[in-house]
Parts: sequence; C-alpha cells; structure tokens
Amino acid sequence: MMARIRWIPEDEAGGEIADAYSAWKAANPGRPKIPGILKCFSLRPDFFRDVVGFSERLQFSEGHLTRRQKEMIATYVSALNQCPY
Amino acid sequence: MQEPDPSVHDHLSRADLDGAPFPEAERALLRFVETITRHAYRVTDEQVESLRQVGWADEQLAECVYIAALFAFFNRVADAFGLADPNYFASPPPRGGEPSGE
Repeated sequence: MMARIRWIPEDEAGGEIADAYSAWKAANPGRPKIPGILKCFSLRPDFFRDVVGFSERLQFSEGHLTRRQKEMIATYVSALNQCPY
Repeated sequence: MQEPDPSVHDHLSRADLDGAPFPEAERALLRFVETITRHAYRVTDEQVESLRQVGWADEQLAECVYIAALFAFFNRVADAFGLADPNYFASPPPRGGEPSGE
C-alpha cells in the first residue's frame, strides 16, 4: 500500500523514524506492520510519536466512556466521513 | 451495560443508526456524534442538555467530542494521502463484549 504523498516504508526507515517504528512495534507485538494511517506521519517522526501517544491515550486509557463506546463513536464517524450526502 | 450485539458494528459501519440495536441513550450520543461530524457548528445547548437528561455526564460528553474529532482528523489525513484500505486505522474491529482491561 502506498499513498499519494510520500511516506517512509518500513524497510527504508532510518534514524529517528526507524526508532519510532521500532517503538511502535515493541508496544504492539500482535501487529506485524505499521498501519498506513500512522505512516502518513513518517515525514515528521516527532508528530508520529505524538499522534500515536495522543490517540492511544484517548482511545485505550481508562476514561469516562467505555472502550466499547469509544469504538462505536470511531466506527460511526468513519462511516459518516465515507458516506456522501 | 447491555450484552453487545455484533450487528451493532455492522450497522455503524454503514452509518445506519436507525437499524442498530442499542439503548436510547447511546443512540442519542451517536446522534451528537453525527452532528459533530457533519456540521459541528450546529451543536446546540438544547442538544447537550438533552444528552444530560438521558444520563450522560459532561465528562463523557467531552470525551465523546474528543474521539469524534480525532477520527475526523484521521479520516481527513487518510483521504488526503489517498489510503485505499478502509481498515487503515490501528483499532481492531470490536469482537463483542466489553474489552478486558489491557
């Protein structure tokens, strides 16, 4: 999978983004590949780390909504955004 | 919390709120999500108050806003970059059941 704006493939990653990819994989042992949506941030490794941290904290930390409710919201937003109206 | 119905995810993936079987309070919350996603400027004091009336606390409403906005952000990044795979996001599909704390 590629994108129309360049991103750094895992096998070409070096330096800071290689470290960020490695850190993500270490934190997500069940997932062999970096998701495309995260690779969109690979030209700014500092943003990559921020986005990962921010979104995981929002979705997976103990909050006021249950994780199931948060997943429902996320699924619905994504469906709406792909839905022409 | 009700026993989650696996069809909920299917209905939501098709943006089919009316067909999805869940409690009225969650339906109202998702209508709020819909307003935020389609045209956030149309959120009103009345809508927020009606959500309080069906039991949502402001802490929960605030988190709902953050999640809705976060996914709008991801959806726009994905569209602009041209990601074809709709499953571009890291979140695994719900398998039903409240997630065990992980």
